Amino acid sequence: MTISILICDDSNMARKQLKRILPQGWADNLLLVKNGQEALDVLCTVKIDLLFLDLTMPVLDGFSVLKIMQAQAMNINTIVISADIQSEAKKMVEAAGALDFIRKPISEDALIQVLNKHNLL
Amino acid sequence: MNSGLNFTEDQRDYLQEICNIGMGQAGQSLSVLFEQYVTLSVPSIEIISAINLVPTLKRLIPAEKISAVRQGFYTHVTDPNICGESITIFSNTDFEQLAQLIDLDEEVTFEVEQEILLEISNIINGACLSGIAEQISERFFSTPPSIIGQSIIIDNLLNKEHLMWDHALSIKIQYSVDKYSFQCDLLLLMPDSSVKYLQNVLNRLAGEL
Repeated sequence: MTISILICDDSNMARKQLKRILPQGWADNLLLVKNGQEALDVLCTVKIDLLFLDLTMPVLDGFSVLKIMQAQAMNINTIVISADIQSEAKKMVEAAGALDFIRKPISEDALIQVLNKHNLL
Repeated sequence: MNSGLNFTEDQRDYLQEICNIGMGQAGQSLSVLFEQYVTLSVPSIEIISAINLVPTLKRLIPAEKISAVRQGFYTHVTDPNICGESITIFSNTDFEQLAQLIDLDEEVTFEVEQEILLEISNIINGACLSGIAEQISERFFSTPPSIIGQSIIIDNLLNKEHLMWDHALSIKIQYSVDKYSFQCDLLLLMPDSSVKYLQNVLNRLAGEL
């Protein structure tokens, strides 16, 4: 299965780290943006199957993106990747419609486990 | 910003992300202390060389009254890869509110304020340093914290001789709990050799990606 992926994180390092551990040949379209507003702009114009979303970001943060997507009934599979490792953060993003939560720094094992869990591979 | 250290954009970005991970760990520890969710904000970092330290800190920390706690850190006792001193600076701290968050019933005396300062700075400093250490495959040891100023004006901190290091990495942190937010700055003061070592590690990380 090939899919279209959007990575949204303000850190270049975090974007590259994730890009590097994505399963080879899995994403046939990979877009990278650096804040929530840019993510929404992409989501309005390009068909995205899976969004990897950071939480603390300038301009528009990840919580706000989730709320906007929920309010506008944009049904996009979203996995949050964040350094906010409080259990409450995971609960909040899942309540706001995210599929799952992966803590930073992300590992390949954690990513694959979550992708398998949601049958995304 | 005037760093004089030639941090590349990548090095800066990586350092910021590493600090971000440290701050997330500190937020987790604070949420346990406060028994509440702690809202994190993006930490902003600056790398400052000693010659610009005082004017830069005055710009970064405009608070009238600050309190500060210092703690030494090092990777090895002899010939450490990285060593230095961290100073956690609290701006215009409302101790009454912090005491409420921590659920302290007693009257907020000077001594209780000291306990609060030591406790919170220890959490922030410890989590941030361990987050950084983990990312750069090191381990930091710390000396016990001590208070170097309690509700003083910033000039009184900056004039002290303990700011005699080559460089400082300043990390501005803001945590909000419920309707209350508190701000602090974590300064990691380091000699030239430690900053160069850190830059090499950042280059290696960049090369791996």
